[in-house]
Amino acid sequence: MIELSRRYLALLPTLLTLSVALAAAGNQVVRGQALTIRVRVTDENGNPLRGVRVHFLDETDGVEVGVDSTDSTGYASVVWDTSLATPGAHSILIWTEEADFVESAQTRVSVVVLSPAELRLSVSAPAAVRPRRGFRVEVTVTNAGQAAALDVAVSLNESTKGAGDLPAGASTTLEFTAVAPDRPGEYSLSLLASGTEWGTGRRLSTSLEVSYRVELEGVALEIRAPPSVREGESFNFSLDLSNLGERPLPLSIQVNLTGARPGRIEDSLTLDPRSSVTRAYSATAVEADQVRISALAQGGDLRAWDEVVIQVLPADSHHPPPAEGGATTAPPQPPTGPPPTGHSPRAPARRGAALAVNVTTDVRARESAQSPVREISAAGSTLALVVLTVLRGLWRVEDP
Amino acid sequence: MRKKHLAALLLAMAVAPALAQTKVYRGDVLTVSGVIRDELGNPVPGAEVQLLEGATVLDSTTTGSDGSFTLSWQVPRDHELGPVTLTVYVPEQPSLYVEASSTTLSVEVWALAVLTASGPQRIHRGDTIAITGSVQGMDSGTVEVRRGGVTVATGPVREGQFNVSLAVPSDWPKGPLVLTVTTQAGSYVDVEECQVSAELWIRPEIVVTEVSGG
Repeated sequence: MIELSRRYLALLPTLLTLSVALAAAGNQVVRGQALTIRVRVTDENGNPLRGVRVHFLDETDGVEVGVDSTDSTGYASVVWDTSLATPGAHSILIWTEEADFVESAQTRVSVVVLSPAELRLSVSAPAAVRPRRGFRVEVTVTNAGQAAALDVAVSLNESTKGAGDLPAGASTTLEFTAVAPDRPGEYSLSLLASGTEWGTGRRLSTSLEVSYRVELEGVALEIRAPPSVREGESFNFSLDLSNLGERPLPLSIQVNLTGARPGRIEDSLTLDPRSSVTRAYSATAVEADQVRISALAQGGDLRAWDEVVIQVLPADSHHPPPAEGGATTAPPQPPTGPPPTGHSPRAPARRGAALAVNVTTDVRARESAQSPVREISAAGSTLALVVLTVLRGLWRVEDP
Repeated sequence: MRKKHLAALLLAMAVAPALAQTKVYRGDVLTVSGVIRDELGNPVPGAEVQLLEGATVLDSTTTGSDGSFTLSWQVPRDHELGPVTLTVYVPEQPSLYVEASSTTLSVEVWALAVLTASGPQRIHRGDTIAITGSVQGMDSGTVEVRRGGVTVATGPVREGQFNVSLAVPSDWPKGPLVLTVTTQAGSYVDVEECQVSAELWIRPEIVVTEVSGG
């Protein structure tokens, strides 16, 4: 018995809520919806009165809704077109004319005219994102009307999420994840919210386009070293580092030298957006045929790699040491694999600025292609390597 | 005050037969007229004639040159109801050589209850209305309010006034309505009833049975 009582007590709030909701919903109408008001006119004994003229007046807006005469069962009704009704509570005065020994009587009924449901979208998303990166998009859908919006759903591109029912003034926020395209530029997110209006069943829909920008990014690395050194002689070489992107780029630099000391140099720096810097280093050639310098610059998942080979001359050689920057650039190799061991032809000419731009651009493309999210672009990476090789070949041909 | 006229023919030395019973109401004036004649049928002028109730002289007069006379009596408002014997009496008059003679008249004294009443013009089912009025000629008793011969309310008369409450039944039809106000008549009491006109109106009830959007 106690358990039964508890169950009923537990149900009580639900039942009360339900009854209140039903009462509130009973006399609500969405503006534009046709509302039927039906009355029954009887005498003191409950017997129907026939032929009584019944007037229906919207006191709030001062508009007569309509007039009807009771039928043989005492019923009269009007259909109120609420298209022009002011949103809010309306008092409908219902009164009967005095005639044939039937006095005038009146009553009132309250009707709440709701403004139509109106879905609105707002978006919180970064204005600029990096290529191929996933980024979070928070979509807030709000029902700005007074009628409830049912079964609201929000779509972002191909993804759809349900927001449930939105009462008047309610809003909910949904999270989506979008992926930036490969190429820098201006893009937009297409958002669509849809639902059904309570009361009328009208289809609700609104859309929003939000633009965002995919940033440029990339890092370029080029080694400048003399084409030859004498055995046991110290020489200088430098790394030209460029940040092609729009954000500051912290880089860690790792230089591996073969045939020279030190065998490894580590460095780090942060490059401002769209800036370049040259880092200079010294090494000493040891007894070997050549010095191979390979450098790797890495910032996050951006990497650039370059390698040069310097010819080592005998210590008693009279061949003058070439200026820095004349070293042979080794064919580009993937940074994750072992550096090439072959000896590339010497290329004593300075490198032009245009060439540097091409190289860095290609390097960037190559490095980007090796990021985990870009495995699908391996073909593109290979193409970039071919372009780089061709460009370097052209450079050597044109060198005086 | 109403007047009631009786004719009497008195013959000297002979008693005329009694007249048929006459109904008079309290307050009425009863008039008795006649001619005094001698045995030869000749009028007797200058003779005294009296109207008596018992030994009480109600009126007296002297006959004219043609022997005619007229006597009158206003029935007192507190006069006992019922039959009354009146006597037309000619006392002995030596100067005229007329001996005493008399004849009797039988009358009935009645009371007349006259009702006046008023009530609301518009009544409704379930209302309790008041019918008020007065009864002339009756200080106490009971009044009845009737509709279609059926008594629907009663009330006492106090000092000639009454105030009867009537609960309007729920089955009375709408429209014009006539109520009759009367009273129970006792012996030798006549009633002049009255009517109260009213209209029964319906107070409609409006029930909103549906408010729904379409």
